[in-house]
Amino acid sequence: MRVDPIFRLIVTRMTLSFVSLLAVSLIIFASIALLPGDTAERILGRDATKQSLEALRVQLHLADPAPERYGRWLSGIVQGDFGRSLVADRPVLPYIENYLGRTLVLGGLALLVHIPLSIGLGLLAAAKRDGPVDIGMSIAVLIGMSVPEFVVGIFLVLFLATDLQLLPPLALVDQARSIWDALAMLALPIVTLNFAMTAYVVRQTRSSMIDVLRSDYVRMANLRGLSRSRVLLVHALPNALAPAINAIALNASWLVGGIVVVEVVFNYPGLGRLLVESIRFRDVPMIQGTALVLSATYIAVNLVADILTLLLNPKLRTRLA
Amino acid sequence: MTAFDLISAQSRQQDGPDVQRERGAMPRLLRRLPVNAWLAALILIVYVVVAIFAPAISPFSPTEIFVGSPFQSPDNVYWLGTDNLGRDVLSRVLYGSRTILLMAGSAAAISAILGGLIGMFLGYLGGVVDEICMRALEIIMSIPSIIFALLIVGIVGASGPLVSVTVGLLAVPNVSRVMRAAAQQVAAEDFIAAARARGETRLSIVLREILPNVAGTLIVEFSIRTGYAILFIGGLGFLGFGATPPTPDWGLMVNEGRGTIDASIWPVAAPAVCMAVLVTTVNIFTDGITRILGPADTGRTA
Amino acid sequence: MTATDHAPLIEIENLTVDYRREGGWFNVISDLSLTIKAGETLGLAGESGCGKSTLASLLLGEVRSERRIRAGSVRFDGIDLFALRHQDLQRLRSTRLAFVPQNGGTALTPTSRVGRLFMETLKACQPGLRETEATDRTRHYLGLVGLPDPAGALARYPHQFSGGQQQRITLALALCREPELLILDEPTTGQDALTRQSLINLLARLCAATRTAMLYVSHDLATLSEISDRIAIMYAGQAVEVGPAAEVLTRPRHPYAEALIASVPRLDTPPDATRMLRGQLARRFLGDGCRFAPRCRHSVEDCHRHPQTLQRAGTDHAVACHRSTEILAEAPATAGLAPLPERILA
Repeated sequence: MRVDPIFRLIVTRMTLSFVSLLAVSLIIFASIALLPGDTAERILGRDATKQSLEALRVQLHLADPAPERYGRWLSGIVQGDFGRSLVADRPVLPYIENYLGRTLVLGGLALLVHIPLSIGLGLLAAAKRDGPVDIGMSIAVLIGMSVPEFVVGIFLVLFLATDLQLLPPLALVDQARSIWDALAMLALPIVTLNFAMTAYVVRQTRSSMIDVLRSDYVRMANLRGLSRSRVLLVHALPNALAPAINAIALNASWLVGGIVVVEVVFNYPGLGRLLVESIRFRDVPMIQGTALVLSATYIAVNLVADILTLLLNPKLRTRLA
Repeated sequence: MTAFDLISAQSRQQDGPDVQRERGAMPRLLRRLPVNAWLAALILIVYVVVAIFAPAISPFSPTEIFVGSPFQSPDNVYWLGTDNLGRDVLSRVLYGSRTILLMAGSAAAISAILGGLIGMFLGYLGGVVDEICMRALEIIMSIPSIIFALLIVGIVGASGPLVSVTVGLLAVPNVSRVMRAAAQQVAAEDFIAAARARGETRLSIVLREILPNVAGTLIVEFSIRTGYAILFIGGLGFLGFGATPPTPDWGLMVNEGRGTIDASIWPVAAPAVCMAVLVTTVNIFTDGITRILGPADTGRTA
Repeated sequence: MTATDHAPLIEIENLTVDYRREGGWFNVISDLSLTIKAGETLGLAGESGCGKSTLASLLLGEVRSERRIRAGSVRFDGIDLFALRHQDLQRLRSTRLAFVPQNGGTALTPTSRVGRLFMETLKACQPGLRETEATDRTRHYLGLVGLPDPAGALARYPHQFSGGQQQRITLALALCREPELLILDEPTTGQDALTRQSLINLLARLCAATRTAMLYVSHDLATLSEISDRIAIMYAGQAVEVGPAAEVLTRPRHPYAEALIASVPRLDTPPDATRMLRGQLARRFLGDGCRFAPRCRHSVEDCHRHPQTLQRAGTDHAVACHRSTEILAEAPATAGLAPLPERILA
């Protein structure tokens, strides 16, 4: 039976991703459990009473050897039990579910805006090469790549929300009264995220488009008498987009990390902000669960990006045939 | 000697604008650095000088509270005003430059040195060792850096050296990948095979034959990593996981000031602008040196 | 709408072209005049840098921002190629002109299947063509250029073929619209002798059968000898000798042509070092006189002062050298290439 080689490749990638996830879970657990010093003391602080320390040790089974704790944690996860939050004294999983959903919405919308925006701007820059539009855009790109996203966020809030009162400064979506309200709240975080991401892709698209327009095959397509639009759309664009899509994939994985800062700036109830807060409160089960889910999202995004890049590249696709 | 002999000899010299990669090529290369990269380098030097001489230049101590009343606007005494605790913003910004440059610089150095060594060895050795290590690096790369950094720094406790080392180590896989590719190209050359035939040890080959040829790529990587490190460490500082307060940390200053931003914009704007300018100049400089030192363009047919 | 038998298909008149480089405009072609008649094959020879590839590009009406036509004109069937609107130029390129570049592989769009490349080319040439007819024609031409399994090739991507096959595909793409003029820029460089021979045989057969004119640009005189009707030799942007292939190759009259031909490696006679090319072209140091004079073994004082232009030297034969008659008289019987092999006809 001949298995479709593409199918085989996808399965291989998925397996590798799964192994990565397992390794990541180990790293997450180990980084908390194996750090020097007493875990209970680190969580409750130096001034904690002996009784509370003991109670915590019992609760977290800290007397058991680390591998056993890891195994217990992992088997719990597989069964859907992420433990109980030390701060809220409630199961961790529902929190993660809600917050993850909101993070995915924000990230997804940001990407939805990002893809056409950055590719469009990149193509525009390539078309108006060396003109004022191109130069202006390259300056904007430089600034976009250089200014930290929390600075961008804060100043956007300052100008658009506080001074001009166009958009709300905080994204407290659970208090939104309607979907439009919620979208308005998401506007600034989305813009902030795009500021950093767009820069990279615009650059990539522009330079690859310029390269492609100078290539032998575009020249030949032109010399064969094809119309301008056909040369651009069929011969130039697909080849110019390949590196751009690669850049977008990289951005998507950056997004999982970068969204953490943006969520904090805008007080958005997402998984990133939850992670930061749970670290601040030393809520170990919550930390572990949140970190694991965020990493899993990261790995999943990378997997999808890898597979998409593979499918879109005829050379890679047919190499397996 | 006939006229045509003269012409043929001279034409050979004029052939091709390619820079030969030989000893003494560096000064010639430097001359090709674009103007904006020189400007950027100048600004970077200013930053470094300010950082080094911060104690001498600062009008006040960066940590002394209530040197003036809180939220003062910039005036003759407090050039950038004061923050919520009455501290002089200018002094905090000046001292903050030490923090960020030291941390980002050492992080980038760690990434470059370790990543460079690992990458060069893997690129040269190849084989099973290469396969295994690359898989391991890929696994490390599957953790989003921020999350891992938050875990380590958050649990153990924020401190300058810890942040630097963590950020530095997290970028090692990325640098290794680039250096490995560069080393692979060099390893295929004849002079490497000759060195092997001479009986040189692997360490010697990597350090004496491969390193000089990939040094350009390494320098570019160091520059890139510095830019990323500044942003990353700034972000960590913003989240409260940077240097321990009251050490002035630009990211932390931005976070501390944003709640009271309507009272005074300066505690936020000053460090933010300084950070933005720093990263911008690093990026411009990186662009410039990439053009002259970066990996060779894949040949395009005429 | 083919050219009449009397007027030349291609008329290049006093063409002067410059390239822009750091520091200004540098001349690459100067005062070049050349004609190609319908159905004839003109071989264009010369060293790298003499401007022959630029000429090929200009014959397609290509406009480049780093290039300018300072003087002169290029006409195809009386039409000034550089005065056309883009649509009209494209119509010419899709129906009557075709180009085969040196590197066939990079000329094929990586993201297009071979079948689609042909389909769009044929549809641009004949808008009313039905798909089945187009597919048949595609298969016919792919088979003609010697591609194994033409039917299977349609669904494949360019990178799935070897370099030689890619070159053939590019050739088929040019031939499939049965153009009046085929321009080839070193199409067989880098290929083994057998492949080259079969391609040249194919070209000669086709052009004779369909009365297609050809401009064959190459530095390889041996190849040119086999398929050219006439040969033009360029040096430093100028045409120095133009004439019937047999004559130019066996009894060259220009010192450069003589040296070029003497440099062709031959199996029957040992190389004659005294007649071969010496030195290298260095445009920067050219003075006002004859451009070849610094390397010319027949040069005299006068040559360095007076630029040479093409002068008639026999029926349909022109040479740019005032000493050509003397050179011809000096030449031993074995100077030129051996008598040409039988022209390959259908």
